[in-house]
Amino acid sequence: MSGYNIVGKPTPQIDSRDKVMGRARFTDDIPLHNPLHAAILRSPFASARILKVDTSRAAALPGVRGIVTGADFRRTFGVLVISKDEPAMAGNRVRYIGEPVAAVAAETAEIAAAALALIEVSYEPTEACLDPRVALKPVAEPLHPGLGRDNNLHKRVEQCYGDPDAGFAASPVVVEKRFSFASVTHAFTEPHATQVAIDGRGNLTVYSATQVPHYLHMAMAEVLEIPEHRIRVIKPHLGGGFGGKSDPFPHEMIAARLALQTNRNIRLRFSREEVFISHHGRHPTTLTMKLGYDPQQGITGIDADILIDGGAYGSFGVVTTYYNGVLLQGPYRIENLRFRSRRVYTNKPMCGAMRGHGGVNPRFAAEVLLDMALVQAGVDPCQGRIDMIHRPNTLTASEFRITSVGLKAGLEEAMRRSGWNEKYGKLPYGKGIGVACGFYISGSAAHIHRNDRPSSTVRLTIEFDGMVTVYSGAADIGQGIDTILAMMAAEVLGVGLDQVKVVVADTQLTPVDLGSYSSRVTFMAGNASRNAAIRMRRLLVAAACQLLELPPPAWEKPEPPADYFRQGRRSPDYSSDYLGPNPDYNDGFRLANGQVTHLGSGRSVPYLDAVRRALDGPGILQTHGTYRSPKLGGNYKGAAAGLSPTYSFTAFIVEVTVDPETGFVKVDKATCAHDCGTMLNPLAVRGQIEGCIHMGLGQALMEEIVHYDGAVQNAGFLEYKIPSAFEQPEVDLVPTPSDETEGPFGAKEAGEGPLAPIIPAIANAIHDAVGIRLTEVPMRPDRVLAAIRKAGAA
Amino acid sequence: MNTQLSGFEFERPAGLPALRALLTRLGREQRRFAVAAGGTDLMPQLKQRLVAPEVLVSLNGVGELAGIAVQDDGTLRIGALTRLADLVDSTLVRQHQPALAAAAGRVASPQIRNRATLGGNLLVNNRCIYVNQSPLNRTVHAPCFKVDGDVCHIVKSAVRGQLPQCQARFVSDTAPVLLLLEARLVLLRGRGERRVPLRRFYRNDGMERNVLRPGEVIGWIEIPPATGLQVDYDKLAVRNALDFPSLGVAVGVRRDAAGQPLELSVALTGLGTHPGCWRHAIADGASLSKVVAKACARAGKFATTYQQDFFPRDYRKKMIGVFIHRSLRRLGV
Amino acid sequence: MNTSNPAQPREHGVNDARVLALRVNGVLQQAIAKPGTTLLEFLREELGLTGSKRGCDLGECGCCSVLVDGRPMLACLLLAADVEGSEIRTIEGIADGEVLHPLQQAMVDEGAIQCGFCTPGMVINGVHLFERTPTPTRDEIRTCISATVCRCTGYNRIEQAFVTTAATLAAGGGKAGAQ
Repeated sequence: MSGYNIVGKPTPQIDSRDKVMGRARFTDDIPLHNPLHAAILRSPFASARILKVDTSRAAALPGVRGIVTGADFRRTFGVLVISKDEPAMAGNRVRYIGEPVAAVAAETAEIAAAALALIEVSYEPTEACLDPRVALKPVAEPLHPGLGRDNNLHKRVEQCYGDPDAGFAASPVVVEKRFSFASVTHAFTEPHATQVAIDGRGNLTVYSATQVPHYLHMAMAEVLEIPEHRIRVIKPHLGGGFGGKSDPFPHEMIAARLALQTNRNIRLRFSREEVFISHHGRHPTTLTMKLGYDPQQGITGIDADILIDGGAYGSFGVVTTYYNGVLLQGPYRIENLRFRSRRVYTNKPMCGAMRGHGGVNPRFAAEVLLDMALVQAGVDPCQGRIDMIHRPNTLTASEFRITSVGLKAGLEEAMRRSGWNEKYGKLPYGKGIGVACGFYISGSAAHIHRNDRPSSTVRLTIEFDGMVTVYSGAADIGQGIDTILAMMAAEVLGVGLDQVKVVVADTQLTPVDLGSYSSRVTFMAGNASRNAAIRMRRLLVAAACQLLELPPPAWEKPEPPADYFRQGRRSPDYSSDYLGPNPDYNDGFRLANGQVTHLGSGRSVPYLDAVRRALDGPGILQTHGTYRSPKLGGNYKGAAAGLSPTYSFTAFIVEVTVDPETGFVKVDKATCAHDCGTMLNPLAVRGQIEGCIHMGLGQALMEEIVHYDGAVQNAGFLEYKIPSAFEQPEVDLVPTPSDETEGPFGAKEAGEGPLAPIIPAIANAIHDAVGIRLTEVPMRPDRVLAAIRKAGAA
Repeated sequence: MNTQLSGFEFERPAGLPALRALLTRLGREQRRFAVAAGGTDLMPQLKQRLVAPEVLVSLNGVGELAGIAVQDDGTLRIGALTRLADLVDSTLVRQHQPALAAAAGRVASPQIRNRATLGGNLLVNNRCIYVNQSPLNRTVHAPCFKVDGDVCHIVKSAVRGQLPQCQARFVSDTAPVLLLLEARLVLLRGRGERRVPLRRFYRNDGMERNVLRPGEVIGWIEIPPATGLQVDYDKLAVRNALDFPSLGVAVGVRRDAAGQPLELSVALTGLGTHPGCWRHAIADGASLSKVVAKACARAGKFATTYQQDFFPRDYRKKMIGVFIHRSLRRLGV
Repeated sequence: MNTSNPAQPREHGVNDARVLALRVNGVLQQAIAKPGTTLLEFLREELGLTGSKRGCDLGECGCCSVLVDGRPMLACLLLAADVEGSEIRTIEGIADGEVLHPLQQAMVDEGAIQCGFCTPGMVINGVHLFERTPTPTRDEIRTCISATVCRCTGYNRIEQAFVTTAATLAAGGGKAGAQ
């Protein structure tokens, strides 16, 4: 890693000054000219027919300028092309409590609220389906009759690799348990907000708190039935997403429709309750898993039956259904895997993608079962895991291409630093230490929308004064991608971070990036930024050569190393972004300290002179860079699920104190080995991992959405319990590098992978502390206490 | 949910005489009014449309009601308008009644303690997961008795007029300690005032929660000197921040000059419609552990506890004994 | 079954809005406020001081914390009319021009800022802590931080920024409460 000027140095986010001074503008902070205030009327029924919506009294209220209902929208939408099942507003039926039924735009928020109260909706309540097991049974009227099923099954995936039964039969240890997981939600701090500005030609500028400006752009054009060029989506500063803002949302369509109807600017913001009602969080899950283990061979088989409760609409649910199964293929070698994963519709707020998407709950089950198996087999839980971790450059059962893996050394180091050998099984009653591992995708190799365009494109310019600007559609949601984009360009061009501006997440100005989800942006947009900068570097080097009267370097298109598409089915188109290995720019020059230096002769020209010479011809200095994933995977249905150009790997060793009288679990320390390849920005990586610990801790111990007759009963920060500063443990991060060749400067994801393993690591530490195995998450004090008492009685 | 507030007038009388006059006038005019000091409990209720006063009376201009003093007879007199943070920081309180400072320090969050008052904490509205909700949520489940509806979602068989009408639970963190300290309230109304022992203040109902009359406000809280009494307070909450008590237990031990325990007292919050409070004399030669067991048993039988909180009811019940024992350990018993 | 929205139409006609004068960040500001206007609305909507965030509007998240007469309070739970005569300090009034408060600088340097939505709340509460207690204990820091919900950082970096600030102040660098 030596030799980098920018990469690998702890770097505060480039906009943190604005944030710390209160001048960063989030969506609701943007002052539009004389906006109308929009408010949404929501269904009080989980399931009902809408017989009539009478808006006449509301329309007559002075100050009301616009009203929309389900009749104003013809097309449904959804983030996945394969399940566009969500209306912007309920048409003839409502499917969950809180579903938008009508919306008003008025001169003040107060008038808008008063107008909502004047809208009369005639409902005919129908029987609600709230229980996911019941959802599998035949019903007279499924939530989505268009699927042609007689029940509320949304998606079923069954896959089998190898022969799990044979594996179990030959295993000395086979363990099986049933697990259940409550619904948890993102609980980002900035509520959803959308503002829409409309100009005299009917063009919309949509400011929205979204992780996916590009998908929102497309969905909006489709739902509003207007051309894409009339819509410009801008993502301002965004107050946290975690997957909760990674779908196009009804309220965004509603705000835009109201703008079109009234020809006025629209301001729409959610209450905290509306955020909870809109949800899109982690699916409540019940699953039964069986795991076979042989000390000589490792995991001999996994068989899982998974039922996830999707709520009223599809969202990312089809992907979730796959991920619940296919993400069992790591971080350990496993040949024999069978799963059946089913997602059902119920009359509750929909579930979707949440940090660690789809991989979190089955990871818990697998790691707890593996722990049981290792204990039964008398194998050390850390050592046993280390022996099974994927080796670099291998294929998994469903042909995930595993490239770099640094976890083995990382976990060994974590064992040393945590004092594992001195502690495991040796701590006094009530104190425990536990381990669990995980892995996660660094972006999805397959596009949601099938096309051959890059996943990410970056445009890069240099102005006459040498200032670099990176234009990217990537969405900074707090994780710091804006900073990464700038770091990539600064590193390659040899300039300081203060010489790079970013223009981001504006569909009018910035090239397409698919958005901040699937842990894809650092890997994909980072690569695109790096590649754009390399192309720019070539222009500068060529200009320097002119000034130095040297022949320009002959850039041959570098042939990707043999393992670039390791095991992948390579398509010639997909190699076009490969601009050479890290960090070699293949040009014989050094760009640093304001100089462009020819290494061979030691002669140099000022950077600014090179910039100006390069500008002489074209008048502008502009390059682009792209990223697209190598084509990966098999050719069968569902083969694309979980394919990623590379994977991160994580291990947690967690130390807990369990109070045997109250059942309270305090996580004292978390030692984390996270292999994200090169840490581009160690400060950001640390922040991501600590954030994952917080969120994992919450799911492990306290967070759960409580429903009562289909209504979310704890729709606020007081009753939905996310951990406070007091609950957060001490964190020790173990450096865990790996030899990643395809990531930008060797980087992989760090934002999601560390979430899943912290939860089972806590469970396994609880077992070490008080000898109980918990299968219900959250592991609330009352559950811990009940299990302790049961164990004591036995 | 629209959280914008409108539809009420705002009055902030400057000083006690003005307050008395205003409350008298509002009563005479039969106006529907609400009184707020810190407002940290009332404001969310206003925003959730749980209350809809015509007039909101702020006590924040009534400086006479703030402050802490020790009277000649040793009584600690605390103005109802005293902010919880000031109570926590007060040398007088820490010196005379450290348990009260400790309990006040466990309320909600620092910002709320900077605003919320002791009087307000004693009057904090009873809570229920079916009441403290948005209008949408209450519509879904049909409004309950506490919001002028006709059902109780906890006791489904409840009918109007049957007491307790409402099972919303009592959640003040400071009341249990003040009960053990035998605090009195000085209540102001019109030109007059009356003193009510705190133990007679609360009623067994989530709606008609106390004996405060319309137009009456708490002026002062008086704590008589209590030599030999030590009190400890702890609460069961998911997090060490923000949460109301799922259970709060105050334990007091009164000792004689020689340090021998004379009396064990226990007060509870967070479980039933009102705080429970019991005293158990420790007779000469009596087995302390028997008294403790009796106290635990009594407290355990205090209230019908409902499924209305993060923690299941039986768990909260189970924790009563655990918390009593832990308090006793901290008190050196 | 017919229902209308559960929010009952509220009485109108008693919106006796009036000009309210508040001293905000050292400047006397006047704007229209209704009896029901919260301090948060007054700051954000009337004065355009959008640094104080509306995260829940119910007193549960801490993102709207402001200093009222030097103490952190939740602007969403205060009626603007009820703090008339008080000195209000918002996140916009913490830095001295472009010179950050030591805590602000530490928050930047230590990576305590991710999405930044809770940051104003954290800073406001922290500024007050350091004015009272230049060398806070770990527990005092956590109590202070626990006043505001952060979903990004897990609080570790924020806590570190507080520790760093204490060290900076102890070394005589920066001035708590620089205005």
